[in-house]
Amino acid sequence: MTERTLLYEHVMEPATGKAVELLAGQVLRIEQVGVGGQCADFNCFNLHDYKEHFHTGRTRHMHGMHPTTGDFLWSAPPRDRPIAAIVADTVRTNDVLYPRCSGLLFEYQFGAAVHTNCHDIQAEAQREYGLTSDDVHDSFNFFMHTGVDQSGHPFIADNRAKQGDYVEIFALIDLLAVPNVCGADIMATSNFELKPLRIAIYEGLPEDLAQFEGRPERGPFVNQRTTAALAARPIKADRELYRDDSYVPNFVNYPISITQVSISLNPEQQAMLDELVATGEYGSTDADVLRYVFFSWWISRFMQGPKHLDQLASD
Amino acid sequence: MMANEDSREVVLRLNQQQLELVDQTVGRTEAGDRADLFLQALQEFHSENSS
Repeated sequence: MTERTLLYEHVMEPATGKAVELLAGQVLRIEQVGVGGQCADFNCFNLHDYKEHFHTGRTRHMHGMHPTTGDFLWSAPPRDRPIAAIVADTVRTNDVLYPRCSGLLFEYQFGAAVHTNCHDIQAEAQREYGLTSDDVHDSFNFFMHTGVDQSGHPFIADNRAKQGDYVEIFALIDLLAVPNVCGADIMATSNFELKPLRIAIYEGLPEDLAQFEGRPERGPFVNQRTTAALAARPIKADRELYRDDSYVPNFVNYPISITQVSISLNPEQQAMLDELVATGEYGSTDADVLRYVFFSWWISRFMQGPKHLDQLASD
Repeated sequence: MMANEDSREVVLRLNQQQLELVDQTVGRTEAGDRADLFLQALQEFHSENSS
């Protein structure tokens, strides 16, 4: 690969973060310095409309709990589109399951009312661009090594990033990118030690963008909505909530209507259905099971993206 | 298709959104109608999931 042109670099000291403008086509590298093993929390916003921002939920839905090279960073509904992409990841232990650590966690769990934490570090870094503490959103946790145990509880494992390890994030739109050095020094997140992280912005290369051109997730879809498509466009500027007396509900596809569809089964088809009903896995009545069978089949045959059906996991 | 004495009727309750998906799928597959599509799904799902 051709070497990228360096545009900006900065070392984030422990307890700090940095808001940087990352324009479409540019690459942000977050790199381990010193002994490594440092988690980097990350927020990002549409530089021209801060109401559009990164969404851990959609990213987790599309790419699982540990996104890595080739995966997108998605914005929240109703925008719901890839706004950045991971183009390099030398460790592959990222996390979009855990929320950011906050002052409360350290106060409640450790009795430390004043302690470095990712929420407050993010808020302070974002303040450079006029955002407030309420604007901090759930973080992408780069280099954070996590999992879920057999009882369904998440856990934090040792941080495996070494000196020189890095992730690179390619901007698909103009972004305000806000990485920070995770402030959790008495949790396992960064091996119980706060270390600096280097950030650098490079001019992207044509091969960076080429990886993501033509990906179906990028649409355009009518449900990757712009501000022009929003029902309430002005940004609410006061904190009090009060009823709009002119409000008239306009829910999508309301009312839901039901149609009965009759399916005639011959003896061979009856035997198939009876066998599936007998498993108890798909419902209790013939109709319940046939509906479950149909839509599961449809998902396996036609649905784009992750299928989220347990019995289809091996497909 | 006329039901005969060996057949069994299964009555599904589907909403307008589900029916839209069914009808679009009829249009993009070899299925002749909604019933054909459900029976194709049953056949293929059973084949892949029966013990």
